[in-house]
Amino acid sequence: MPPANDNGLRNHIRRLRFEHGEMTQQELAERTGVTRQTIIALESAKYAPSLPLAFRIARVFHSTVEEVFEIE
Amino acid sequence: MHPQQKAAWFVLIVFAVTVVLYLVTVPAMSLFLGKPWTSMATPAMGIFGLCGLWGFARFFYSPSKNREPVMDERDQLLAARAWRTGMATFWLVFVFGCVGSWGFMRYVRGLDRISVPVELFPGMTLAGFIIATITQAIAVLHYYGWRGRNASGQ
Repeated sequence: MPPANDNGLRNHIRRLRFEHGEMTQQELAERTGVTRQTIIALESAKYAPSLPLAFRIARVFHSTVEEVFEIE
Repeated sequence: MHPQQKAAWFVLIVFAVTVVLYLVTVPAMSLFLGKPWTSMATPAMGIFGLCGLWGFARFFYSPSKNREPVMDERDQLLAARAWRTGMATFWLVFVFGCVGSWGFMRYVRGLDRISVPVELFPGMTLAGFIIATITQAIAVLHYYGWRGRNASGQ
């Protein structure tokens, strides 16, 4: 189970990356317009993305925001 | 390491070098001019003009070779948070300096009718800005992680 941040928000970005052709963090960062450090912070639940970023990430994985992010 | 981290380290290194040079300049001036070092402490503070080199920190923010943005939303959030921390520190230093200097003259030196010397204010402003910038740099490094690995955003 991926870690959750202080607000109980967790995501499945790491799993989805591997399921989509073992996408690297760098590639995901380039496709979503952020730095690799931000992707690292997202996957370790140390940063909560803005809505536009959440939607961009979901679009990369051809998923909905609710499939990428969940809240406890 | 993110450009913001590099800029923060640059600020801290320049300040450290400035402080070292100041501590060297005071006795050097005292020796060269044949005056007591306590009287050289204030003139030697011109060394802190080296802090103007901080302006060159902007060159760390050049576009990266890969397609990553220089400052994404998380970097802007951390920059804003560090700036707020720095400005809060500046305000504390400035207000403490204003009130403290008045209180020192009134209650320590026992002067009844006093006015704070106007030449203190530029010095307080400069000192406050230096402290604010140092605090901001430390805050940036704290938020990113001191070694640039596994950077956290909250």
